[in-house]
Amino acid sequence: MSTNCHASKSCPIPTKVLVKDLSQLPDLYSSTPGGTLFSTTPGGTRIIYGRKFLMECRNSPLARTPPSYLPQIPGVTMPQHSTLAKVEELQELETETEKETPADDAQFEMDI
Amino acid sequence: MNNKFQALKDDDSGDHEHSEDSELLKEKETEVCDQEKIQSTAKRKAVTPGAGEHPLQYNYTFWYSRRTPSRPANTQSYEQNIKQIGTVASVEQFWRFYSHLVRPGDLTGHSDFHLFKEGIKPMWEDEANKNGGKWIIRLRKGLASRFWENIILAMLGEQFMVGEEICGVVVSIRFQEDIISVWNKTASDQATTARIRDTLRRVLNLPPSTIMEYKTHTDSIKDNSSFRNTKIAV
Repeated sequence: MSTNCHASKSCPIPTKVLVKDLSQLPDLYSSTPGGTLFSTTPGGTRIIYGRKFLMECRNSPLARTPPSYLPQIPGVTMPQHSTLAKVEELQELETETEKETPADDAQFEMDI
Repeated sequence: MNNKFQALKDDDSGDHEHSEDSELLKEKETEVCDQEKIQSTAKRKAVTPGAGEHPLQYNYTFWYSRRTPSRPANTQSYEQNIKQIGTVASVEQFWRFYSHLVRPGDLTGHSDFHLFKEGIKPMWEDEANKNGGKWIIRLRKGLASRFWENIILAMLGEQFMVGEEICGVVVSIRFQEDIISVWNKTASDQATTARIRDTLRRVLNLPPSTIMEYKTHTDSIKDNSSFRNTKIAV
């Protein structure tokens, strides 16, 4: 790393401090509370996120909308068999197996 | 930050007339061949975090590649085989794409997902990669999806702490094993490669006996192979 000590040309995005409790600051940077750590390292300040924090972000509404442009690659971004009929067939197969057990429960619930 | 890497832009020097077209094409439903045109020209609009989103230290681009194993790859065919899926600048944008991708364990055939810093192609020959190399970890079947998720979260969250050295990570689905790779810029920088190795052990919870292999991209070019003839480092 000594060979790479030069001022970074990029403009770092301003970082926010979101530490919930200062006494919780651990030695290991991989387990930061809240996940975001204001950190000064060689080369400038960095935006660091812990795994837990990143996983929590997954549930926010901003993270759930489909991306505005997603290439259609069967088997990668969409079901392997790209015809709609095949997709519906697969969905039917899924709902058939799901109906077996919850059906009785649903009936009981509706009686209430 | 977005304009740091010129390599991708230089590729487009012959294709200026496509830039306006690709904006229009994005708005309509496109055919597969048009999609490839869009993917081959760099996105003209800079990708930035949306309002209220958590910015990443770098922008990253998802790529996908696949080939029939019987056909050996050369540089040209490899470049044609890799497809950009999208670029993300925030945690939320990352999840949007990631949630709509099949998990690596469910990919069929000889396939790879790559997540690389914007502007760096997942190719040995790219400017950022030509002096670099990669750590590889071989996984038995069934582990790829979990390891891939943990390694990309570590990279996006800047857990490697090696300055600018990380280029990207790859998950490679193969016949009897799967492979995770971490690419860095300077193969000869032993302090960096050691730190990457140690970070991998920690974030992936690798058993101490796990064999980790390093291979320079120069060697890969020489034997036209990604995963053979590596240097073993325990």
